[in-house]
Amino acid sequence: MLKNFVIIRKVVSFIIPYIVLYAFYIELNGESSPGGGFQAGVIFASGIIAFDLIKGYKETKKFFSSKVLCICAVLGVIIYATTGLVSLFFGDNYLNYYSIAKIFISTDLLEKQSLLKAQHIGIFAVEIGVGLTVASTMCLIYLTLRQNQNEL
Amino acid sequence: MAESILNPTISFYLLMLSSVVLVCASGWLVFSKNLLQSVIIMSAFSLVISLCYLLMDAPDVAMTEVSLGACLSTCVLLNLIKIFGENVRQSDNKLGNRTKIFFATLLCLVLIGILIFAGYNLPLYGKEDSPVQSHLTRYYLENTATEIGVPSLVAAILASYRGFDTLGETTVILIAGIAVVLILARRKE
Repeated sequence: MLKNFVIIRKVVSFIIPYIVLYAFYIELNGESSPGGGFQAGVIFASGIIAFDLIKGYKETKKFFSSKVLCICAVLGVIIYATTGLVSLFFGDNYLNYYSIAKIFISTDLLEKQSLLKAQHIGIFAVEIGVGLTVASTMCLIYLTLRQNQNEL
Repeated sequence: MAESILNPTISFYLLMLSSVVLVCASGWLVFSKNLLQSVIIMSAFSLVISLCYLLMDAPDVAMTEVSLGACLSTCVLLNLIKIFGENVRQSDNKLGNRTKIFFATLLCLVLIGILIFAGYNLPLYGKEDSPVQSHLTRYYLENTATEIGVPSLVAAILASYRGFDTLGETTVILIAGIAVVLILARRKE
């Protein structure tokens, strides 16, 4: 699309790494700063869209084919659901993160601290799942429309 | 913000200014004949309304609005415009068009009147003892630090207190993506 405009191409290709870095920053700091998995996913997808704008559909297709994106989207939901499944094995409710403490962290040291740490781990895993699903779904919607445009 | 109606701060003036801008932008959006122009106006609308969210202390919502409304949906709509062309076809029946606009305007004015009348009974924005702030919000504010131990309240509510809802939302997004691919993707690869 914008292949022929030198200034736009240079500026956008300079900005893309920072967009992706910002997406990872929001993803990893989801529990201590504004934003979370959803916002990180959308920002990552907008980085990929910028790549698509300056490089063209064929280059984007090499790295992000629709098959890979579908698998990533399903994988995100699977990560989320599996995090919830852990608590079922310890007799708790579905998606109760306190039971993660019973696997990873020794409960006898500091009862309260280990429970809070379990909540941290649970929220982190869930945010990763949401981010993966949102990023790949947004890319998928954009690239599907783009594919149809190439045809016409 | 409750006191700021009596002693207006700078954020209150900014909110009023941006609401005027939003009304003007939506009016322009309704009467513009060019699709490309309306997509750009919608993008600017999202940008201004995200500023409003930021002024009302909701950075998460502002972030979502900027990235989804101003960036992603604009890109998708621009792609669609490239397929279908940017000019709106004029309707042939001018008289019918005009009557429809008359009735629509009347309905909108009645709705505006009802909403303004209902707005008088709402509690003031950010008032401490309003029903929204006094029960559930107070519980979250008091207990998140001891129960979840996460600095961001929004992340604690979304991922832990309301984890099951968020699982449903994520699944809905996945289903939406799958539906778009099933309907619009080319058969032959």
